[in-house]
Amino acid sequence: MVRKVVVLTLIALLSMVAVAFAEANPQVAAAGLNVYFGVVLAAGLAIGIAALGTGIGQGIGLRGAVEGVARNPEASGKITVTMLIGLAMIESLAIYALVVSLILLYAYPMAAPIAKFVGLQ
Amino acid sequence: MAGREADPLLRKIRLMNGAVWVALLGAGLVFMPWRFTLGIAAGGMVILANFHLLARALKSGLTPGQLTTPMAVIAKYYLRLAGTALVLFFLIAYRLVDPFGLIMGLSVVVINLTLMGCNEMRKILFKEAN
Repeated sequence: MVRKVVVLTLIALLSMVAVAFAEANPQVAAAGLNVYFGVVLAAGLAIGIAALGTGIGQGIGLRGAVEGVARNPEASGKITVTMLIGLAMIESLAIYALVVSLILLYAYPMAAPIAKFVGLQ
Repeated sequence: MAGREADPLLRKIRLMNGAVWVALLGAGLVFMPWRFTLGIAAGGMVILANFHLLARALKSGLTPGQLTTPMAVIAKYYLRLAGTALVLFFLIAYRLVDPFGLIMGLSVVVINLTLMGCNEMRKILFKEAN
């Protein structure tokens, strides 16, 4: 029920935004909205796919480490350091994806040229 | 804490992380604009703090005899993640630093580990050649 309300609210808000743009200039509004949707979709997909891959990778690594420590508790120090290296490498990928998503959403370098091109500025 | 510091590999990684960060900062100061260098500084600080906290969390979660509760480990993990995301959000959204410098700073650990891996490979190949 809550999900339905959220989805319907979002659709209504997006329709209002679209109508507001369309009143100014329909073609410009369509082009601007297309760019906006593309950027938001790219940002969401970037962090989503990266989180999926990172989660799977870290899970596999952690499972191996935990199994190793359970079989040989004395080797926990070496296993921990080795896993730390692996996890740091894997996690950096998710951080890169987060940075790319944030850049797309808040500091997209091509935002101004595109806005100028479609006539929004 | 003392046990972790006693591990020579981890100590070496930490030292080399700092060295790579300082080298990147120096190169940025000489060759790049100040916002780019600021990005390297901020990104490096974020990733080094992240690495340090990750090491602490793993040690407390995997060392027999020093185990903390799973809830504490999970809470620390998500706090670290949220803190990193928040810092990166403020740095990027308010354009405090150059994004490419930030990415360069965030690559400190990756660059260091890659260089160390290459060095180990060189040692193995060199030993095999002899």
